[in-house]
Amino acid sequence: MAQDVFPATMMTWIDARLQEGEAGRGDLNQHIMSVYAWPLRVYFLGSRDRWLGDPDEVVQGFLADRLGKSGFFDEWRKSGMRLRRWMINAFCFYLKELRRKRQRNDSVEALGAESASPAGNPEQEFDRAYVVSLIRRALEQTQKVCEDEGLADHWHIFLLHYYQEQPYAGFAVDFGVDPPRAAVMARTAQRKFRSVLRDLVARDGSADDLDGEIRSLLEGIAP
Amino acid sequence: MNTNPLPSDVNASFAQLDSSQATRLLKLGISGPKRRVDPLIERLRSSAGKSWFAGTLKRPPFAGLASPVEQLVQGRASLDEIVAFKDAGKQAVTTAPGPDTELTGVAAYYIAIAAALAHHNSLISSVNRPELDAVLLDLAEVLPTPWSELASRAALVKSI
Repeated sequence: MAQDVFPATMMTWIDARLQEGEAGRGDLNQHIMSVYAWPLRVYFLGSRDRWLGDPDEVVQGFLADRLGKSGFFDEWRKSGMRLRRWMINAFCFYLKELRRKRQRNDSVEALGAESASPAGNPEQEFDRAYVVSLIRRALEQTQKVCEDEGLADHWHIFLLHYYQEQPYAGFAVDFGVDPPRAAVMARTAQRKFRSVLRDLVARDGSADDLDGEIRSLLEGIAP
Repeated sequence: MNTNPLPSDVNASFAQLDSSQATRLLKLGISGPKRRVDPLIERLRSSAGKSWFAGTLKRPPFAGLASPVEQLVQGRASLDEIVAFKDAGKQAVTTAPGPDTELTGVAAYYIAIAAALAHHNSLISSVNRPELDAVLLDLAEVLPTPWSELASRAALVKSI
């Protein structure tokens, strides 16, 4: 199991965005929203705090609050944690704040709803959702890379084979190639997908051993 | 040009990506340890890769063949001849006086394996198939024609 710590010098992508000022901060926030918002929503829906409000509003409120704080990523850096762990910890604190606020404002409703028990294992559901979110983001970014490089057919063949698990012989003719050529085209797109995915995994704070981190993610989401 | 309407539907369905699909795709992110073939792939991918490969065909063990293309790509070599060629490639790797000779030996080794698969449906290597297929497809990406077709065809052969 990979350790949940990393050297601060490895946070290159996030450091670079922070050093770019407002524009970089916008890119960083977009990355955070696209990768972490949905897993946080899943966590919220499985937690005993789900009575606190609409999941989308709660998660958006959390992100707006914490990402707006200038020291948020500095604190993360000091923590030595994976970013996803830092996010879930920060989210739990945010839920605690919301809970206290609601209890002050509406004690009867709060007391009744707070007794709700967690649905399943919200931490594990968060980890699963994080992986799905990560892969979704990697697919979107690889699609753009392939299209920008004139490799749209390579991308489509990759999707049909690796995502939909269709044999090359079933669709290669639609692209005007034979199955061996389709396999090579898919391999080209797969290489690009791997590069994008590893970059995204590194952004979570694990650039020193990406294979180990991916194996750790696989272990974490195993049924 | 692709006329298949399916891929755009696939793109739209990223939102429906499920946990098992994500797991399968996450495994593609593992690069594994550096392979012996990787320096060869890097050399072939470089701007001088094609001319370098043309040069390898004039060096041993390729130089020992009357016509490398006819024998290995077009399938005129017998399985015994291919095995002997593979062994010569292996020998070149272990006794290589320099990196060029070593890379040529690696090229010969994998091209022999590809030829045995493509023309004789025979697996003459102990490397497991998924790993071997990945190597052959990586080589197919960077080798010039007709060697590229040989490697990709071999990767899709279901050997017995």
